[in-house]
Amino acid sequence: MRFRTTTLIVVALCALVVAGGALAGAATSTKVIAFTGRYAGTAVTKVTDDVADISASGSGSGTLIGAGKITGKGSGDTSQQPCVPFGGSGTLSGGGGTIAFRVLAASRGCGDEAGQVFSVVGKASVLRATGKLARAKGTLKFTGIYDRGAGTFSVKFSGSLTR
Amino acid sequence: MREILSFGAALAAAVTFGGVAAAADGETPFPAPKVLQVFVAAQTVTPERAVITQIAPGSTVVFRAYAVDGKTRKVLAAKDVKYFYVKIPNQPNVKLRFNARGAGATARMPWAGSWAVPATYPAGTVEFKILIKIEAKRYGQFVQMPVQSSQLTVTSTPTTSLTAPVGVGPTAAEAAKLEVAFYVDSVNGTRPAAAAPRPVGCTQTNVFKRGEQFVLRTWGSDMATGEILSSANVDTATFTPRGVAAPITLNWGAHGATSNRVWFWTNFWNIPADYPLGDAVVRVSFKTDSGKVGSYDYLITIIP
Repeated sequence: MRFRTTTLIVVALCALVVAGGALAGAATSTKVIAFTGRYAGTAVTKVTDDVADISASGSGSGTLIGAGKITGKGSGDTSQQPCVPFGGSGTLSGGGGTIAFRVLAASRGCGDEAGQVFSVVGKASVLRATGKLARAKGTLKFTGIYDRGAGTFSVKFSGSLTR
Repeated sequence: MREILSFGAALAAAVTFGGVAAAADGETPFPAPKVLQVFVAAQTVTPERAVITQIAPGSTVVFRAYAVDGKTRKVLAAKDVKYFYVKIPNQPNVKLRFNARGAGATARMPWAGSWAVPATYPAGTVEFKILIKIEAKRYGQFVQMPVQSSQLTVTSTPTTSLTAPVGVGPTAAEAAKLEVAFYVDSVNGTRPAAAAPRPVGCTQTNVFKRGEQFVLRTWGSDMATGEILSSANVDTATFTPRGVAAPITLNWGAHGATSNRVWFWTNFWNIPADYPLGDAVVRVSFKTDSGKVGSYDYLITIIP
């Protein structure tokens, strides 16, 4: 009787260990990549009624994808002041791969008293990544400045991607 | 003695604000990318605790302040401080004393000192500094935001500051270690929805009429790193006036003259025409990307 009880406990423990190992195996297959990127360039906003059409392009570099370009297009609602909510999509590309992203709701640009210098903050959901970041998913935070008068912008991306 | 204090002022400026060259991507965080050694926040008020910007020659203004040791992250009390004073151009220094019940002081800002503006003091902004040295031989400094309309101004015809008595505030500065420390003030917005605009917009005040536009301004520091709270390291930043259900998002952005633009957090709230009269707490809350939280209860008074 004692043997049977011991055997059951051992079997149960083994089952737990095996199950735990399987879970651990699954956990270790997820790789977390700390991504940062800095880009700067030119941006154009064309306001019609309360809609600002936005297009931007520039250069910089990001983790693993290396030096390359940024492009983006979107639109903003200028009826809301001092912070204009905006959305759109874009791409970070470099020798090591590309990241295509979509700008999430609640992203916004907040202007100064003259409406010339905007503080930009928001989040970008990674739609597709290639190259050294192939299959990477996640959401990146971005912060930066858009100088409407000069037509220039700078932006920093940061966050954790997983694959 | 004067030489020692001058040396102290220079040293405080050098060691308090760090990393100016490190300001990234065209941003100029106020007062600097990093606050080192001792954090200092201060306001100019009447003896009845109304924040004021304009002051007539012959009148008295109270400077009040609090400070936090950047190393221990504790709010500083009398026993911790070697000196704490206001340096005013061409005037004797004004010593700040620790007394939360003193004229103009509050539990949150218990250090205070009065300046009787001489009748002959020239009109214009007063470029004062507040300097501190603590027993642990660390220094701190406070300067006003470089937004001219909100800076202490001597004028023979004050027109814009409302001066009803304001309460002492509901809470003292925390005795425990602070994760983040804040400077908070408010100014009158230039576009009140349901009241006449004041003669000058964007002047510091904590006394508002119903229907006026309340604008909150704040900056803060991560006490572990000294880094200024900015959109780069903050997850959420809000303020919530008493009785208002939805917190109002604070925005990180540029302010001031083009030649001296600085970055801090702001947003406005249109005070309803039926908002209760009297003191009202406005709670400022921040959460950083790294999970640190901090809050500051700022007191305003609503008058008819």
